[in-house]
Amino acid sequence: MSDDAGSKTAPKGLLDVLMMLETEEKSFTELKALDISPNTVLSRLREAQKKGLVEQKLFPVKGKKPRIKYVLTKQGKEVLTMFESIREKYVDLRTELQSLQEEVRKKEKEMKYLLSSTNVTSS
Amino acid sequence: MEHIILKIRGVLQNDGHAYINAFIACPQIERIAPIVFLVDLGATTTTILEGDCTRLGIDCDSLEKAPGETIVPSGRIETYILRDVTLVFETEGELEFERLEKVDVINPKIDSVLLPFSLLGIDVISRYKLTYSRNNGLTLER
Repeated sequence: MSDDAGSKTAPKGLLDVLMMLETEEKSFTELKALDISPNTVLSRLREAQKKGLVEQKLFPVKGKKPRIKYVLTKQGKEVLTMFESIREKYVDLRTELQSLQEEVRKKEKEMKYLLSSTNVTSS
Repeated sequence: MEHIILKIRGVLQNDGHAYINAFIACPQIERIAPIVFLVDLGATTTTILEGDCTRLGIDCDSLEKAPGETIVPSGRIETYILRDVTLVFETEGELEFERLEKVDVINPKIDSVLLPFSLLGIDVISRYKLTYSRNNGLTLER
């Protein structure tokens, strides 16, 4: 197995990172308090930045170098609200999704039946 | 830094058609709603078909009309544009979203066949690596 494949993991933590930034900006050190590996936190931050959900800002510290902190953007707040809403209503949404899938299966059977009966009629 | 794989699994039906489950949100739809997409490599744009248009309560009269006409196997149809759409997919243990500037909507007519799914077009599929296997089903990965 290649090194690249070995370093790949299932995604986790984007929502945790966004939720952590919901109330106030955080530095990377503060975000490491999350129960996920620092590497994952960094990957999720980079991904969130790329998608415009999070941005870096410099915060002045008296007598010291300014600190880099991560801030949720307007788009990030919207996405977080949406994710939270899905989590809240997850059971209902899954039930609705399952009945939709059932309808799809029925429709597929109907169409298959129609196609096969058309073939019989035409032959 | 870890390379994170996002893997969306589709559902493969017996006849080989592949479907992907998602949740849809946009200003014109009052709630976040579940939606089933048929993976359609022939569709340039993700398209909400008549059945979902009705179910989601999309009022085509309030939407802008797409320029020209769309040609489908059954003839020419008028399509409308739904803007600022977000699709949320379930990946392994996480939610992943795709923002779309626009999707097409087909306005239901009296004699419309109301299918219980819509079409996931190249505009979304091309953002992923698509793997289709009779044994392992369909996955969108990046």
